[in-house]
Amino acid sequence: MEKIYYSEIGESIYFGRLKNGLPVFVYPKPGFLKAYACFATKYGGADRRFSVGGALTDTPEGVAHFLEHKMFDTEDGHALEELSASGASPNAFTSSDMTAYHFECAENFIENLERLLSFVSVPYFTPESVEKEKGIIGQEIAMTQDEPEYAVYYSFMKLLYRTHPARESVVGTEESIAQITPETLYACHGIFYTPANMALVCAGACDPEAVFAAAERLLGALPAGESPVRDYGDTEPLAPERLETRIKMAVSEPMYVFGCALPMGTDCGARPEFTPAGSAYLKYRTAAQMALSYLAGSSSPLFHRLYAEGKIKMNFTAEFEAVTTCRYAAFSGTSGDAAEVMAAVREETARVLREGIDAELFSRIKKKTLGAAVRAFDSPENTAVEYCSALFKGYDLFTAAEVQSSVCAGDITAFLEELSRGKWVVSVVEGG
Amino acid sequence: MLEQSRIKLGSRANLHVCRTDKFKSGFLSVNLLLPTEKKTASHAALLPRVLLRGTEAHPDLAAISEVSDSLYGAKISSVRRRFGETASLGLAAQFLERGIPGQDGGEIFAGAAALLAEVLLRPRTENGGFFDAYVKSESKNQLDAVRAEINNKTGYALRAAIRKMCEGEPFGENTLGDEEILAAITPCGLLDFHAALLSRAPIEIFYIGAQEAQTVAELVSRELSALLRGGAASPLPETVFRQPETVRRFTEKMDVTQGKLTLGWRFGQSTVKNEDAAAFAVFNAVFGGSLTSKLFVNVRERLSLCYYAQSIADSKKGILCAASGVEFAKLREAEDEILRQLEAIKDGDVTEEELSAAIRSEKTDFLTGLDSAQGLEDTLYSLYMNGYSGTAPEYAERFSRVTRQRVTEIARDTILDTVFTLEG
Repeated sequence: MEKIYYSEIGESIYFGRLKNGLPVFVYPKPGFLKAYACFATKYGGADRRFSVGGALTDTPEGVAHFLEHKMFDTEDGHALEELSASGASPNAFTSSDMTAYHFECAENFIENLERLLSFVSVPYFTPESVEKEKGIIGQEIAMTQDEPEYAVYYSFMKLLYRTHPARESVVGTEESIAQITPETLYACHGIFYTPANMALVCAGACDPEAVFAAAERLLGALPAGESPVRDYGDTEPLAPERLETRIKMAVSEPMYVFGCALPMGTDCGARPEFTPAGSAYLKYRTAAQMALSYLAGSSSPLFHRLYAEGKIKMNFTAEFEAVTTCRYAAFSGTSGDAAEVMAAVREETARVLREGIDAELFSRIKKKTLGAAVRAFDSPENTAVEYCSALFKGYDLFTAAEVQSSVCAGDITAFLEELSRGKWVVSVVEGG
Repeated sequence: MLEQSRIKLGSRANLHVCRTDKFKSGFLSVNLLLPTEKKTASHAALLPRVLLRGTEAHPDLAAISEVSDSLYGAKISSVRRRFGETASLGLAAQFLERGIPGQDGGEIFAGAAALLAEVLLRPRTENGGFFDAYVKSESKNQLDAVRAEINNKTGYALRAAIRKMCEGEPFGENTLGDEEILAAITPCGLLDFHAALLSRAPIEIFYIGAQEAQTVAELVSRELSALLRGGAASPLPETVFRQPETVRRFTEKMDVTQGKLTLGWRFGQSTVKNEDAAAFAVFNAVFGGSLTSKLFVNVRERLSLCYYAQSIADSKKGILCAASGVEFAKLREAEDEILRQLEAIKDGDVTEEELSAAIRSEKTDFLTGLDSAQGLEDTLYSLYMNGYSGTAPEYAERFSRVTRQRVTEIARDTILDTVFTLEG
């Protein structure tokens, strides 16, 4: 494997690629007791329509997540229990744009890694087990229906986007998962679980060469596959039909998300590798995060003023988000009057654009952002998952600190100008 | 490298230093121990919020932010824990010690320690009380937090069940506070509580990071000199044990799509006093605390009775809870099955595989917890409060020594106390 050293942060990562194209990254952490592995595919809840070799496939909502649940079934038993019995803490998650299988352990790492690579690459579904899973996922859907965070987020997404699949829940609905058969799962596994569309990232107490050798043993014979072309539907007009939704639920205080969609990205069907478009995206994303932190983060004058006036709580956040081709700014919080807080954020955006960037505050935001980026390396699991997610978006996570230091005041105002042009919407869940 | 040491600082404080160079972050916490009581639980919940609002020298959030941002985003936050009937109220600083070229980690540590000490010891006050506006707005925020508990049904169901089960015992107090008491707290009353706490509470200080123990001791002694001066420490309460006579059933109605079922048991007093926490942990992993547990494998996976079914055991308080999310129509069936799984363990129906998987699972959780500065601190604190004096990595071996017989004995010593359901 090749060792890549990043002088800006003093960190190294090992990289190698199997002959069939699967990228393998290992980030050793001296002194750590645990090792962590993340084997992921660039396939999430929003990847519902896609084509390989010209043939278009259309799938119901919730297949990526259903597949994640079913992958743990093996011909001999259940991988979750086997890994657990061997001292690993395994788990998996499906987001709108990726599915990741991961575990951490303090012993038998390579043995556990082989189990992980094996169960994720070898599908085994029966009609009975697929039917049974519908009951389990039906319960998960019921549980998410009781979660106000879930309701407020998805109704926000539905305001922002008219047709993009990122507006639908990753877990699907009872009706949509009823349509899933073993054939659906085998087909989607065949298309998305290929070296051309996956990555393996390990971190912590592990040896790069041993990881690479295990990957070669278990996955070396897999055909390369090709990264499917995703179809996310018609071009979004980014002109919301409605500006507000209010949902009644059993909550003690209102919960809200407001914000606006940003110009769509072009993250379609790329293989997991670093690209110039990915680097450009990293620059954009970094500037966006720093601009939002400057505007309304916990160090900003706006945050302090709204907090002192009792209009927001400590849980108020201002985030840049990107899901497949969707990019948006989301401000979330609880209690208070969401519309009033939104108006204050918009006014503050205008004020900053009018008066310019305060150099002292900007320099503090830079320091704070750098500190957070460096501290994040203390967590092998977060680093591995973030590394994978960044790779699927085409950029190298370990260059983020360098990009941060290159962000200038002009980048902040450019982003705030984009915000001020956006069509703002607000989603509220309230009691009643 | 992991060097642990404990240094006495005055008559009621211990400084626990764990020196390691594996993290970029350092962690410092100052924890005050107090009895859980109805009359002070709300004060304890409110105090950190008010402290974090402003100090004499940095009177508001903006001024505190300026300091913490210039320390690369050093963060001061409150940490509350409980050990049986004893509550621990603390402030923790997380800060970067390594990884920024040309930056001295020692300086950042010193800056973060000074800020923590300032927030804890020199709050913004007026007219013999805390700054009035802060008390008012944070009381409201805390009140909202009490009411917000129902927003997360899973967590709410478990905590509500424990409060019902331990009603009348300090452990059954709502640690978020009580609406009426919170509303009545005055700036002077809260400042009196603060002063009493600082002058009498036993103090446990933890530092995880790259500095030498002696350097840390000198710095902490200097920054916290006003705190470390006080006299003898107030005594801490004994754990309250109760023998359930009948099973109590509680049902709460709420607008939910999925039912929540929580069962609560008590362990016998002698088992609690004589067994090691590691043995409870392994028993719990066999029953419902791991992915190879009886509840996960049988109740969730095989029978699909619950979306989740897991157990937690509190070896300090001597209680066991099984929490699950269940369709309304299957609540009774799920309850019977959960009880059946516990009966199986009592009958010695624990295979070699189940036991060794449970041991591995506990050992893994324990060891992997040592891989973050915060996790390491939390583990060291728990071990210390459980009376363990060796090093953390050595403790991991205790899980391996737990036998099937001990797991069975612990199961046999449970008595069902409470069944709590949340229904639509």
